[in-house]
Amino acid sequence: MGTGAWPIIRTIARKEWVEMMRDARFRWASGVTLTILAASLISGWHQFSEMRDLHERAQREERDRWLNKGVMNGHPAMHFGVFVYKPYLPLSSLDDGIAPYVGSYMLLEAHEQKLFQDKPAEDRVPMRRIGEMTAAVCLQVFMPLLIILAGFSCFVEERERGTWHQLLSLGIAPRDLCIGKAIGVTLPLMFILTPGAVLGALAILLHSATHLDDTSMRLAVLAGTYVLYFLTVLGVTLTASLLAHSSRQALLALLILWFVNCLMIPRLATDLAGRLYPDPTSFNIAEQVIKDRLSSHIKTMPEIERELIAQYKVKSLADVPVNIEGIYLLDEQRVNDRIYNRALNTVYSTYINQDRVIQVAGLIAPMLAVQSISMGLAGADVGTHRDFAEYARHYRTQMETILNEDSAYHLPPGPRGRELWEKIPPFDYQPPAIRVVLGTSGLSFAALVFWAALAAMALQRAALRTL
Amino acid sequence: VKPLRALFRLEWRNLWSDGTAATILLMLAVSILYAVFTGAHFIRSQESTLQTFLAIEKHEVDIRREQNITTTALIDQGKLTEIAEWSNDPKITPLWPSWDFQLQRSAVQRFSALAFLAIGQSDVYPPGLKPYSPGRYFKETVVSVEQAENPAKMMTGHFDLAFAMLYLLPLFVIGVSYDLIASERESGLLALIISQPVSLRTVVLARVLVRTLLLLGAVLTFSIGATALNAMDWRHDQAPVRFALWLSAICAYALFWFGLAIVVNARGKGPASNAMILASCWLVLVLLLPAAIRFGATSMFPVPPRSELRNAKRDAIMQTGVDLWEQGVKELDDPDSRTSRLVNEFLAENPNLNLAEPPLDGQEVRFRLFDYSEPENVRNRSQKWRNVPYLQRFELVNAARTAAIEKMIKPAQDHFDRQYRRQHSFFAMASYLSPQMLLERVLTNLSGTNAEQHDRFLEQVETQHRAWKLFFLQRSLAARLLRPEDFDRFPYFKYEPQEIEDIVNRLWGALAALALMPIFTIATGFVLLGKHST
Repeated sequence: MGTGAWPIIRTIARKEWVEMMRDARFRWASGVTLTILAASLISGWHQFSEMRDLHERAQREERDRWLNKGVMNGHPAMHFGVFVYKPYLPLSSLDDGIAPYVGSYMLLEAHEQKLFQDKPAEDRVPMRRIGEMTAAVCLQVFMPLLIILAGFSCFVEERERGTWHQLLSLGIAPRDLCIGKAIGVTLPLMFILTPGAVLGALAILLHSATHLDDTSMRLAVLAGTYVLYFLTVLGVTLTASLLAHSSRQALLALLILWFVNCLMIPRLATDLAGRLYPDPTSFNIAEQVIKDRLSSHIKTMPEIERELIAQYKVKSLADVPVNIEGIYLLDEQRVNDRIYNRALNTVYSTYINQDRVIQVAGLIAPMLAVQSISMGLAGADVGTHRDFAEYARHYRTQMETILNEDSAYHLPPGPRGRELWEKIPPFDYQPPAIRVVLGTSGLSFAALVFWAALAAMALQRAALRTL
Repeated sequence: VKPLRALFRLEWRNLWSDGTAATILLMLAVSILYAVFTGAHFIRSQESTLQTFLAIEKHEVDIRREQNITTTALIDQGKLTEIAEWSNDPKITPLWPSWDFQLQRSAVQRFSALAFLAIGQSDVYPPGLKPYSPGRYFKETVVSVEQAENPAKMMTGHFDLAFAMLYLLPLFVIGVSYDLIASERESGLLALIISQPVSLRTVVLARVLVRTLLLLGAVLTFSIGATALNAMDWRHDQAPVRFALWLSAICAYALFWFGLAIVVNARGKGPASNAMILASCWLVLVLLLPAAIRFGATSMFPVPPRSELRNAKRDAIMQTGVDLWEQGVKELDDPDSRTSRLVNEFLAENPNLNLAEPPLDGQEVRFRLFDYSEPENVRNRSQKWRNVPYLQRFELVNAARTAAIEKMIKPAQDHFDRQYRRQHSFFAMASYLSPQMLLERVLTNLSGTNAEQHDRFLEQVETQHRAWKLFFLQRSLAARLLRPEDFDRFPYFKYEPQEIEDIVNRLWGALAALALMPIFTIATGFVLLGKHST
């Protein structure tokens, strides 16, 4: 493209810009989208800061409670347990992902491992899940609609008005025409999005003093992802506008594509994932736990007594240099940990497999790919959730082992105080680094790039065929 | 009537001849069949594993019952005359009323017969609860039953029949009715048509009737057919009445959209403009307005996060004493201690609960009290408590402490409840602004899968939980060991679904609004048609 083409492209782009800005439909749609985006950004940010502060405070208070709970035996202390809270990443203000459906804290206590407690969605007004007003839904579902509205009539309207051949007869290169139109459609959209994006990014970065590098990297990748997604939608929209016989046909086809991409395929993909890797229903897991419990043997006190007497070659339990109750608790812990680890592994490995299927489905619906990347970067996906659950599981095992071993080997047995409680380190979970997220979202990135390339090729072919 | 009949026949033929009817039927059939089968698959898998789970849970209790029978027989035969006042020996624990947690079975909200048509919130709520603690929000979910399915799946939602009807059906209506007269008006044909002895209203009426008959006929036929294929259990929950109401609500919703299409067509714009306006209406009424109302409800009446309640409870536990098993029980020796104060308050507030003095009449077994000399045991030394078995001391301290915690967290819980009720009431009121929200409320209520039904379930669990705790507390304080016949008296949870009369009473406003909306839009459409004759 020579430098001489730029004035023509600029003229075409300006004409598109002016037409779009004069179009009442576009002005209304932009206004509505911008309002939704601003409201969801403010609300998301407000909710994030509130929850982050609440969780940080609660985690500190839990530590204080743990250290200051007084004098008691280790086992009652384990029954009191500790609540652990999943930290919120700043990007979760844009996309809270699965957070409303899993909860973000769990009680680590004696005998059994638990999944997360108190899903926030339980307490909210009932909703069909697409009704969540978050910045992510706005960008993934409503923005494509705005792009469609902005671009569906871009080429086809020229044909309907009869100005198409006039334009071409002026000697404008088809490629310049295409580029000019694309820029003309993109500029008003950028005009809408840029202030929100800049302000949102600044707000997030200002509150990420401790993890500035990580957050800015995540923001950059997220921004790149959305730009690619919007360009893909724009490419598809312009292709439809080039190929359609009428603006009505273009709009209808694009609306169907939007519906399929944003509302239909996500449901079908999760259904397919469930068929390929059936969810162990909650009752399956509970049944497995009971069966394992019934078929497992926790040594009884008389059995342990016999074993200890034999092991230490003494005549009575009074001569054994350990506390039998502690030994009993250690044996019980060993059995229970095995049972619950098996149950939780079944649950999470199924979820991860299903997640892969959903990522592959991003090849059919780019919205799924963007959704997956966005949730991963916001730390609100199944992978991060599992990472936290695993960390909490190890922490719980470590905590229970320290207390039970103290009960078994620290003689004489009896109530303990702060000295023992301090042996349990503070709970300090760090979410996976961005490179881990990028690794697990590889399929989604590939799907998005595939779609972007497909849209570009389709646009090029349509332009060559039509112009 | 005659011209109407002739126009009706003509339109019917037109729809079939241009392939529109066949396309609509095919798309509707695929959507409805897929939705019904997907919903049925979800509910069926939950149901079947639920039955297995409940059976194995009962089996676990039965094993303890067998053990109770064996040990009780030894006591009755005089072969076992003394047991330790506390033991974790599995031969003894089924005798302790304080080990009721081993005898409890889960409280489960059974799926209604129509649940598979609108899965609603049922995937979000915990499917089973083990009521360990009083207070609606402190029920522990059944071990490992917290998560019903992949959260990513919950986030996306299900493709059930309710989804197909709420989102897809209006699009089908728009697809067949955005151009009732617009093209003919543009081409001038309309003037020719109404120059015949037939009014514009009759033309539109015939066209709307044909499309309504085709669309609703297909919806009803496929819905009933798919439901029949999925072997819905018609005997439970007054299912035929519920299903009839379900389908009637859908018909009203579809008619509302037809009415809206008549209004838009009557404005005299072109087909593209009509399509655009109707698509915008869909977007606003089906997506944006419900989302905005939810946003408003959660912003104006935010329900505090449950972690606040959990924190309030943890603080209350710290104040009442963390270790009630040992330190709490030992504190009874000091009449001025925190535990003694709580116990005195509890007994004063519950005059019907008394500590019995063992050995009891007719009870053959004696409790072997712990040895004084062992420092780690939980033996009390004061005159008042030294001969009271641990079973009584522990349960009394536990009940007193639980009652105190309940009082302490009540303000936080009341605040939570108030906000929850306000948010839900606002949402229910605002649902009158959107036919989509009204329909969703009606469908999920009839299917027993919405928040209101779940709230009823939680209330029932709370009632049962209090009855359960009282049953075992009375036995503990009376120092009565459980006997085999007690197992038949345990107050297990039984879910009472809501009667259809109650549902209709609660929903009459929504049902009336759903019935009036199509009347309003259709009437407005025909009035406008009269004003713009060509």
